[in-house]
Formats: sequence, C-alpha cells, structure tokens
Amino acid sequence: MYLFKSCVAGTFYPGIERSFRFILNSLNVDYFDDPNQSSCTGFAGHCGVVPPEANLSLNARNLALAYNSGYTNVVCTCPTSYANLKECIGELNDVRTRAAINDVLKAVNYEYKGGVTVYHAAEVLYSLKEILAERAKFSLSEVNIATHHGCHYTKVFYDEVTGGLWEYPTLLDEICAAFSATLVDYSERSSCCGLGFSHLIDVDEYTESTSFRKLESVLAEEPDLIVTMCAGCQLILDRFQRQFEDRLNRVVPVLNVSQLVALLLGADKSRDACLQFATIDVAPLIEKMEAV
Amino acid sequence: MNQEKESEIEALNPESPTFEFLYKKENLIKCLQCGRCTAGCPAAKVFEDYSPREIVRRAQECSEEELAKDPLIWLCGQCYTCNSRCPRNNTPASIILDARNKAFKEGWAPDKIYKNASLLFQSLESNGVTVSPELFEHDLGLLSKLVDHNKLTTLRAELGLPPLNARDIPVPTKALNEIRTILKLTCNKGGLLNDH
Amino acid sequence: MSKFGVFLCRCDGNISDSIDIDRLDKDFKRTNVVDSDQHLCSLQGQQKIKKSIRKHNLDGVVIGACSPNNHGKTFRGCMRDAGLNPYLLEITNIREQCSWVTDDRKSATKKARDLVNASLQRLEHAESLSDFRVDVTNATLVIGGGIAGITAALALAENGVKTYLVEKEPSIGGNTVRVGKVFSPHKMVEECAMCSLSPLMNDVYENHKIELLTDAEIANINGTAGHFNVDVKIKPQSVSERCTSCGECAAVCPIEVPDWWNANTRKRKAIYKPFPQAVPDRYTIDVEHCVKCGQCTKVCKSDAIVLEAEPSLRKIEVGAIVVATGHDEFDPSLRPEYGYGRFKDVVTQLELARIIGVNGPTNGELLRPSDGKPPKRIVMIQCVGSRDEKPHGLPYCSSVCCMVALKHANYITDYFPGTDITVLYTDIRAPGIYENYYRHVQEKGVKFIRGRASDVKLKGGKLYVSAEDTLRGQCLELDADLVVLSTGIKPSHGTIQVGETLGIELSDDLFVKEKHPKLEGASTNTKGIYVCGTAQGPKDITYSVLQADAAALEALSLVGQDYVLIEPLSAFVKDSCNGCGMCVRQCKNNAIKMVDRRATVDPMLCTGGGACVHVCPTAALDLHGCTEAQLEASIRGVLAGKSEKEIRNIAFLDTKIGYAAADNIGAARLRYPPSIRIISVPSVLRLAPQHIELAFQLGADGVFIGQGFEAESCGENFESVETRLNDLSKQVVQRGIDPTRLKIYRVYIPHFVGLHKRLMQFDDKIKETGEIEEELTTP
Repeated sequence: MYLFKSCVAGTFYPGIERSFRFILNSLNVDYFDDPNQSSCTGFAGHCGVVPPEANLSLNARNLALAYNSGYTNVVCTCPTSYANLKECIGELNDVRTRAAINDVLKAVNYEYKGGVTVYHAAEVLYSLKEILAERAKFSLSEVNIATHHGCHYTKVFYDEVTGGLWEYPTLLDEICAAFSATLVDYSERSSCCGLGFSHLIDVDEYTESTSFRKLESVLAEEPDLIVTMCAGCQLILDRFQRQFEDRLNRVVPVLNVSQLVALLLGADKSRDACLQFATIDVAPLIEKMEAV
Repeated sequence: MNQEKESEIEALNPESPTFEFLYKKENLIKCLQCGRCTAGCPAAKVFEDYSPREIVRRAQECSEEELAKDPLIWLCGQCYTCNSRCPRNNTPASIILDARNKAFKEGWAPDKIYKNASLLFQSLESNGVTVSPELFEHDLGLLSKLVDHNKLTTLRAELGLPPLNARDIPVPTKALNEIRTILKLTCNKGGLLNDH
Repeated sequence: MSKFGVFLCRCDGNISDSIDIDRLDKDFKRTNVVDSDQHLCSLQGQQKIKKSIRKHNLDGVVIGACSPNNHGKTFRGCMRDAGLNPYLLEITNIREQCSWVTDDRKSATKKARDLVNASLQRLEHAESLSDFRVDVTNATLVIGGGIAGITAALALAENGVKTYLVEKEPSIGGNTVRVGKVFSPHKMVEECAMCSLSPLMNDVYENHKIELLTDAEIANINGTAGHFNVDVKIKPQSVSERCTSCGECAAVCPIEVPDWWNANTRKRKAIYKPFPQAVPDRYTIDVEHCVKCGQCTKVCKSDAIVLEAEPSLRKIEVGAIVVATGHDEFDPSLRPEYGYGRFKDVVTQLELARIIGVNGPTNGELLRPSDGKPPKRIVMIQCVGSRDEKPHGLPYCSSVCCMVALKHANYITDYFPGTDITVLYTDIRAPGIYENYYRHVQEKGVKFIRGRASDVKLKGGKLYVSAEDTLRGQCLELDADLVVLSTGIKPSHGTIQVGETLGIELSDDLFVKEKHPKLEGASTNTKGIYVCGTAQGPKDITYSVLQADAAALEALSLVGQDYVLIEPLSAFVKDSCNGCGMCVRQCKNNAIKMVDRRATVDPMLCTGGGACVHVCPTAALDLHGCTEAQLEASIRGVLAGKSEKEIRNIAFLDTKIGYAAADNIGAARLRYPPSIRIISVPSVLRLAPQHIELAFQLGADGVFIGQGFEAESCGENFESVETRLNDLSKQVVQRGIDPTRLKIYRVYIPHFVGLHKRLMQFDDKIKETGEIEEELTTP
C-alpha cells in the first residue's frame, strides 16, 4: 500500500501516522512511505481557493506516483484526502479531462493512467481486526467508546462505506468491538464535528455551535473515550472540549483509531502514539486499558 | 526554466479542450424542494438565512455569477450531509464549492478568505502541504485560537520532527519544483481550464 | 406470370388533390388490373376490391391508400373474403408519406408511382402464410391469494372456468389481512378490511370450480397462450384437513417466532393458525422453526398432525395465467437515520395498523411499544424509501402511503381524541375523490407540514424528528412520543421469482411490466399471461380489485375460445441449417431451440424482429413477412428509376414507432422532399450491413435508420439495440461507406417533429455533399 500522508494529522497529531506505521510494521505489511507526494489540497479546496484544475493535476501526479511505484492501493489517514482522491479519480475517468490534465503533467514528466484504488486506513484496520485483536496486549473490555466516523468518509462516497450503512456506519465500532469494547450510541452520532473548513478561518459561530452540540451529545452518554478516523475531527473534538470546559462539566479523551489500535498492540505512548499532542489527557484511559 | 516556459505555453494553448468543472444542471432540475438537506444541515441550524434547499433553487434560477456573489455560499461547512440525504441525488455542497471557486477567482470572496485561505494555498506552494505548523506564525482566526504555536513547535522538536513542517520528512526539492510547476500552470489567470 | 391488381384510393381529395390518380391509373393499366375509388375503405370500396380479385382471379394485390396502420386489417379482411391469402397484399402509403408531405403535384405523382412500383416488386416475393392454431385448455391459474388474486379467481370461477389458486402462505388473504382498516372516501370513516375480505375468502373455499393450493409455489412452466403445463411445488402438509382448529396444539408448542400476519408485533407458535378467519380453516406447522418435539401430536384429538410429511409436486394444465403476487414493504432499517430498529417507538404504518387492530398486540388500544403508554404526540414521516434514488431506495411514488397516513390519522383522532398528529410530507397524493378525505382529516386538526424528515434522534429519552417546514423556510425539531414511518411498496420476492419462472418481462423496478400502460394494463408481454394488483405496481385495494377483474376478463376471453390463431410473422429455418446454434444465442426471447442438431423456431415465442436472420452463417434463417427477398425488393423498388442527377435517401424505420412517427409528420402536414423514401422494417435489428451496402450500390445517396425510442426488439432492450446499431454502422464504414452518409436516430412518437427535423437535416446535408461518388458504390 501507498501511505498517503495527511497535512492536518502531520501538523497536530503526528501519532496518527506513526501509529499506523507501527501497526503495519508489527504485522510485517509492506508499504511505501513516499515523501514526494503533495497534500491533496482538500483543506484549502473546500474553502474554495484551489482551482479544480490545480486540485486535479496535483492529485493526478500523486496517483501517478503511486501507480509508478507499484503500490497501487493508496491508503489515506484523512477522510478528506480519501474523498478528494476518489473524486479526482472519477473526474479523471472522463477522457477529455484526463487528456487536459495529462497535458499539464507533461510539463513535469508524469502521466496519469488510472489503475489506482483509494482506501482509508481505518478500512485496512477493519479488514485486519481479527488478527489485530489476537495480537493485542491489552483489552478494551472495561472501556466505553463513542465513535465518530467523519463526514468525508461517510457522506461523500456514501455507497462505498465499509461496515454498516452511511447513515449509521459501524466501521470504527466493529474495530473497537474486536478488542471487546462497549460501544455507546449518542444522538448527534452522524453530525459534523464542526470543523467546517472555511469556518475555521472565516466565521466562528459555525464551528463553535456545531462542535458544542456534538460534544454535549456525546458527553451526555459518559463514554471513556471518543474514537475518530480523522485528524480534523480529532482536532475539533479534542481541543474544543477545553474551550467549552465550563459548559460541559467533564472531558473525555479523543484518539484516532490508528493510535488506539497501536496502543493496544503495545506501541510507545510518546514516540509512536505521540499522546503528548492531545489536549485532553489520555493517560487515565491507558491505565484503565492496561489494568485489564 | 526554459523548458518549463515552453510547457506552459503548450498547456495554455487555446487548442487544448476547455471544460466547466461545474455542477450538472440536469441533476438540479430534479430537485423536489423537499427540505431534507436543510433539515439535516448543521449550518442551517446556526445561520437562520442559510438553507441548502434555497441554494439549489437559486442555482436553478439565477446565473452562476449571481450565485457566486451571494454571501450565503460562505456559510456551508462542507460536511456533505446534504449529499448523503438528497432523495434525488443532488449535492448542494458541490454547487457551493463551485460557486466559491468562481467567487474566489473573480474577487467576490470575503476578505478574510483571501487573507487566511491564501495562506493555506501559499503553504501548499512553499512546502507541498496545505496545513503546516509554519502557518501558525500568522493569525488564522479561530484555527489559531486552537493552536499554541510555541507548544506545538516545542513538542515537535522534542520528538525530533521538523518543527515547522507537517511531514516527518519534508517534500524533497525536486518534488517541490514539480508541485510549483503544476500550480503555476493551473492557477495562472485564475485557472487553466476555466478560460477567462 | 402473376397477375396483380393495383387499387388506388383518392381519399376524397386527400390523395387525389396532390397525386394525379388518373395518370397513375393509366400507367399501371399496361401490366396490371387497376381500379380506383373515392374511399377504398368504405363498404363500396371494399366490394370493388373483392369483386375485382374474383373476377380477374388475381394472384396478389397492391393498395395505394393511407398508412397500413389505419386500414391494414380491413384490407386483409377483403383478401380473405375474396379467397386470396391475406399475406399476398402490399399496402403503399401514398397519403401520410406522399400526398400530405409533398409540395408539388408533379413530384408527388412521381413519388407515388415509384412507391407503387416498389410494392409491386415486393409483391413478386410475397408468400402465402397461414395462421398458427393452438387448442385452448379451458382452465386458468391464478398465482397469489391476496385480494387481487382472490378477486380474479372468483371472477373466473363464477364464469364457469376451472381455476387453480396458488398461494405460498398457509392461508389466502395477503396484505389486506394485515392492514386492518380500509378507508371510505365517501363516508369519511374507516371500515374493517377483514369484513370485506373474509366473505370473499369463504367464497373461494366454497366455489367448486376453484382448487385452492396453499403452501404452494410455481416450480416450472412451459407451453404457450392457450395451453400451459405448470408444476406446482407444495410444502409438507403437516396438518391435515381433519384439524378442527381447537388450538390445543399451539397451547403446548414450546417454540415462539415473530408473527408475520401481525407485522411481527406479536409472537406465534411453530404450530399456529395464521389468523382467526384463515382459509383453509386449520392450523399449520412452520417447518423452518418446528423442532419436532411431538408435544402437539400428543394433544391433538383428531389425529390431524403428521410431523414427517413430505413436500409434493402437482402438475396442472391451464390455458391462461393471472399473476397476482403482490408486494412487500420497504425495509426501513435501510434508512438508519430514522432510527427504526434502534428506537422502539419508531414503527411503520403497518405496525401501527396492527397496534390499533382489535386482534393486534394491544387488542386495539393505541399504546406505544416502549412502555405501553398511550402516545400524546405522533409524527408521521412520508416517503420512507419511496421517491428515493439513494442506494436501496424506490425511485417511484408508492402511491398509497399518503392515504394510509390519512386513514390512520383519521382513525386515531376519532377513537383516541386528544392525540396530536403531525404528518411530514413531500407532496400529499390524494387523487380524485380521495381529496375529500384529505380535507376531512385537515379539518379534524391533523397538522400537515411540507418537508421530508431528515432524521430521528433520541435525546433524553424523547424522540425528535428534524424536518424543514419548506413553505415557511423554517427548520423544525418536533418532539414525538411515537414516530410512524410510511414505508414504500416494493415488488414482493414472489413477484420477482414468479417473473423469472414464467419468463415474463419485469419493469426496471422489478414489478411485472404491463403490455401497454394505457390500453393493455392487465396484460403482460407474454401472450396468455395477465397481471393484477401490486405485482404490477403500487396501487390501493380499489385499483387492485379493478385490475383483477380486468385480468380475469382477458383470461376469460382467451380460454373461452376453442383455439387461438397466431399471426405467422415469425422467423423460420431453411434446409441449409448446419446446427451451429448462433441463432439460439442471439434470440433473447428463447424462441429458437436446437432439435436434432437443427434450429427450430417456436413461432409462439418469436416476436418477429428478425435480429437472428443475419447471424446465420449458412443463410438458413429468414423472416416471414419480411424475407430477404422481400426486403431486397423494397430497396430495389424505392431506388428504381432514379435519374442521373437525382438524389435519393432511404429511411429505414421500425414499423411500430419509427413508421408511426413518420405517419404523424404527414398528419401534421409537415413537408419533406420526395428524395426521402421510407422502408418499414419489423425492427431495425432486421438490417444487416449487406442491406445498407446494397442500397448504396443501387444508387442511394444516404441511409437513415430510425429506431423507436425505448422500443423492445427481439427481447433486447433499447440500450443493446443501440449498441448493435453502432456495430452495424461501424461494419458499414469498414466496408468503405462514407460515415456521413449514414445516420442513426432515436425516434420518439410524440416528438415526430424531431424525426422530421433530422430527416430534413440529413437530406440537406446529402444534397450539399452531392450525389454519392462512383467508387464508394462499387463493392
């Protein structure tokens, strides 16, 4: 697999990708960690500042890099990259679009030829969940988990969701359940975390109000942990709990599913999972996990 | 450099096909105005005037220019709930994104977008990544409130990571040059394929 | 030398004003018997034709008149009456496709002459054909024992026809048993569905002309209209007719399973009686769940239980079949945003029907499932699964759910006053007199909000429904004690299965497709098989019953005959067949089979499109009514007498749609130049590259192919017809024909103006390009 790196994960939670690599390494899964790949542009793209042809050309180059490397299964840790790359593949299937974009790529000696499939890292963990559970050093049997799947995984390519239906995805739930976790439902389960792309840099009300509603709903069910599959969602759910601390009464740690699985396999809390980047302290939860 | 210039001329050749990366109007016509998008929309819960259903109606009725100039298009959070709920398979979020692209290109976007989103775009150009720790040397509004720049760079340095780059290994120079060439070819004059 | 008659119609000036009939009369008299009349279709005109046939002992007839679509049958009748085979008739369309579309009299007369000449050439190759005769079995089969099947079976039996009624469940009754109440748009009240249904069910049981086969499914079928052989598979009959319905067996049975007849709101035992009024009136064993513990056999006083019963096979013979296999409810758990299955107080309308049904889980009290308390606020969500193009959704309107919601709203406001009901709708569909009922329910204070619900959430133990009031532009979160989902209607599993077994055509949505949506709404595309009720599409009881009567009438008119005659316009096999089987694979109607290493066409299954003719490597296949010789003669005919500088373009149009659209051009008096010559073909699939090539060799300057939009041809759908046409055009181009001289167009009857425009454009373009160059026409 071709590991497609996320700029948001890399900036705020380097543990997400380090954990994913840790998991792949511990299972001896072959992957290619290519530094030449650019960002998918999705974060700026959803703000409307990246011309579609720039987005398509950069990602055609990224996909061509994967194709040329022989690692044609592109695995994203970020749902926005996942959706954006999939959307680009769709657009590039149009002959005229592909020809025009390949005209651009000629200038840098690339050609997009298709032949690449895009997955999310959580889908990889899902397919390996039984093997991973067998190798787990710890258990989640005493942990109540609420999941948040990320809108760009469930709502853009809604008919390609792994685990459950797009309106009630169970991808993360099934992975956690494999490690004996108890899953808790909450009313705003399928709602946006509040990130809102342009809202983070333009209008504050959207993010504040949406993330508060989300957090209020999930905390009401008193989980021990919130598991996500998106660094952006993690940023909002983790950091906004501090912003709303006085209104929410309690806080709950937030982990990416890669971090959680790596920790269960015995990854280093600091070097691999980089828990020091979390705003809400994860240590008490780890103790609970390790105690079992 | 010379070679690069030649390619640029080639790519901008008026003979190359032009496309509209716009939403498909034939899909819009099927809108039932049922309000399922608006009822599920987180932005509509926050902003009373905002309704994806109305955006679809406007997209059907008014010109692209009018829609792109409408300040309401900047209220969408791009969560795609509308996409996943529409019984007739419309995607208000994509219509909005197209309108935003047009607005940004034509100079109709809000000032804050030009200032802050352009920083993201510059980051893409200089580092090959959209978001990076380096960005937080600037004030990016709400996003900056969530990030303690000093703490972030310190933690990164402690881990042995480049403190200002999102990558463990920064994008190599050759690749960066490729990325820049692509951006130059596709972003000049507001875009290669949307001819203006 | 054959002797042909040419009869020309003046059509009271419609033809003779533009065409010099006297001149043609003179021209054709040299070699043929010729006559003309003001109205050949009148009794006098027909008499003239018949007399002439007899008097001159004619071998064949050409009639130059209006389109064969108008009076083709009439004129074939004349032939028969005069003792001449009706297939020795050629009708030349000199009205819709000549006098009405041509500007000047001279050109029109010339074109008419050419067309009649072409018909005469074709007539040289005409063959006498006789209709096929099938002896009819005076018995019918009705598949499905819901209200539609029951109605059809009773109608047939009451007309004295032996009728088999096959039902897969242990009792007849179907979904009507479960709906509980039916509404009356006249009296504004709800009536008991069972009170209407039960007497009909008893009639079925008592009618000695009906043989009821329950627990039974269709295993196999063969034969054709008038005579079908059907195998019926019958599940093990573990409880015999000796059963007295005392119920002691169920009391001791240890197994409990959800009760389908109560929409799974209750449990039943593995030995059970579906419902009190079940027909046949006896208990039954659900063999899937029975553990054969034998408790029931010990308590049965009438010795009616046989635990080791075997399934059986019943072979029956019938002349006609009525499909009444009904519908299933859309599974609302496929729309998890509405919380069905996660939240106890989210139910379907069918479950609500059971809750308020007197024999339901709460004995008719309106109590919600979670805590058994009466709900004060009810929100009904319309269009759950219907008008929904998302995965698993039903793109169509299920047509009854609005009325079901109104029915339950009205009933609840009558019997449980004080209950607050809100209906969230996309559009309320209450057609015709049903509007009265809608108004009545509005007047009673039921709230209607126009907006499709987005989701249902459970917060603090309470349900909230989010929707937009689209008429106000306001987002709402409605709290509810009970949420009722108006789930759509989809084809039942049985409908799809029976469709496959019987080989009848299904619609895109997998309902049984009716032959014609307006004119033949109870017939299928297979002769002798009819359809009614929700097997054909979503509809309410009223329309199901009406359609059932229509289907029964169609079946009756078939089985009431001694024999049926079938037009012989089917493919046939000549001696040169080498048994390669190419045609067998081509025929999507399964009309060709290999018998003793030789292809054999079943004329009953063949639809006469002719797609098979040119796949045969030994040219052993041909098509009655449009043989190779006839088709070639037509091509030669319309190109004959072409002068040096003249342009001629052939338009091949399929008979059903393309040709009819061309007639409409004439009827609208749109004009086109005489250079366009139309040849009717049963289907454009009849055309092979060599036909197009022949046309060019004989001097055609362009070839236009018009295929009816969405017309079925040889069992192939429109898309595959298009693919084949594209292949044809590729092959023709490979043979050196200039692609700009070939045009393929989709014809759509209501848009005949489009066909006209394309024909004109094509003709203009060919005229611009000039006459076809010599080297292209030589092979």
